[in-house]
Amino acid sequence: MAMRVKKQLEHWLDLPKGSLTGESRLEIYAGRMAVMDGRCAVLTCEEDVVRLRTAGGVLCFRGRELRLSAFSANGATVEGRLCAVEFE
Amino acid sequence: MSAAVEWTAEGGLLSEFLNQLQAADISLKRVRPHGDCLVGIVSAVDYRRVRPAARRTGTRVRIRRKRGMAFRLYRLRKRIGLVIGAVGAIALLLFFSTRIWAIVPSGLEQAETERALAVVADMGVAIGHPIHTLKPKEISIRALSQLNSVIALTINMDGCIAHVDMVADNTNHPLSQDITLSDLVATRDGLIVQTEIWQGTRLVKVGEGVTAGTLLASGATETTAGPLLGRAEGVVIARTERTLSVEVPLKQQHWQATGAPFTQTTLSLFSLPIPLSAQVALPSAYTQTVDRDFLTLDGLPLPLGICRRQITPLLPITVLYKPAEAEKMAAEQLAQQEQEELGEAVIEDKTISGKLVDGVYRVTAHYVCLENIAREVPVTVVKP
Repeated sequence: MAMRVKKQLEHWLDLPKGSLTGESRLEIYAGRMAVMDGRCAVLTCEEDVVRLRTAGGVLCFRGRELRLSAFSANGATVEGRLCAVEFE
Repeated sequence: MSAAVEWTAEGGLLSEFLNQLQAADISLKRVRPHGDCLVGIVSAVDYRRVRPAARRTGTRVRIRRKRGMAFRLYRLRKRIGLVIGAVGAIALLLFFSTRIWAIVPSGLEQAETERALAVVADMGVAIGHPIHTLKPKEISIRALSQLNSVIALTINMDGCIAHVDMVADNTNHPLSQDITLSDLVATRDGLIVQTEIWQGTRLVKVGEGVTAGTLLASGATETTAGPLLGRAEGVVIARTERTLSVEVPLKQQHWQATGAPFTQTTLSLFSLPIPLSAQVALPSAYTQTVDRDFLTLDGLPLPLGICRRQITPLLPITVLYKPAEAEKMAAEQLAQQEQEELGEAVIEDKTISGKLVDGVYRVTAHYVCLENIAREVPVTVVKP
């Protein structure tokens, strides 16, 4: 119920999506860096694949020389040569 | 000063290990796979909390590298000399930053600058003097009262540098430009031959005799609405009589250099003089020339340099002049005095007489000349 009200408020006030609900947000910078804003958990951390579990599902980054340049309770940042981002 | 630890984790559930750290609110940086291990960076403060998470997930964590100034300082903790040196350096820095170490004058010529700096040095603007006791505004006012050739003087502190900015009095006008009321008075007795009053009311006529202090022109101008007060300006040429005299004793005492001059060298280090040569007792009378060679940085003098004093001992000698020599010297001195006192006057007649009295050759010159005797004096209006 509260989530629905927050979503309505976001809509009425024309706020960015997720600013009130706290839903995960993903920003990708030119295939070199992806910033995940919101709580997530690491499922896999390898050189060619990084999988993160988010509220919206499992997010999989594929590429080369991948690494978690930042990982905290507020989100995660994946850096490297990103080839694909997909929800599993 | 932030310290960080680069760690290596291997074995167990590596992904779960990361999640456990996240749950413990530990921020991780640069987590990357390295063979079968994970490598990452965590702050030194958080590293203690990494081990419980590692135990729970069966992961073995090792320190790969320690980063940051705190670890470097910790390694040097037993080197007392370094600690003392660091503390001493900070103490010296704090001490030196409270004193004047450079004085940068501007606005005057060399000779006047040295004189002005000597005046302000007596008031505290000197190398090595504490800054917090300085009162720049008060010093400016006091220094201006002693420096007649300076009309403005400000002292601005820029860290340890004292900027002494001065403005020379280039105006020939005897009065300040901000005076609004003045009269013209006679500086000496004379017979007026020409008047030219540019401003104010003329009170004397050509052919009139005046004494010193006579009002020649008033700054007040009569108008239909009453007197209008202002400045009186102009030139009043008068025929005056002047007498100059010079005395030259036939027996005079002079100082003559005796012996070889010697040099005393000192190293000036933060205003502290350190002698570099043998300190010889100074003679009772001497002349000295001082040569200062100080280091500069971007034109700014530093408080470190060499000071050389060349001292020439003097001895008094008695010289006996012949009357002809004394007469010649008296004539030269009279010409010099005439140039100084009557340089701007037109000499119409000159009578010179000289005689030798009691071993002193005295020359007296009587002049009749034309000169400007008007001097502008400020007037203060007292309201009833």
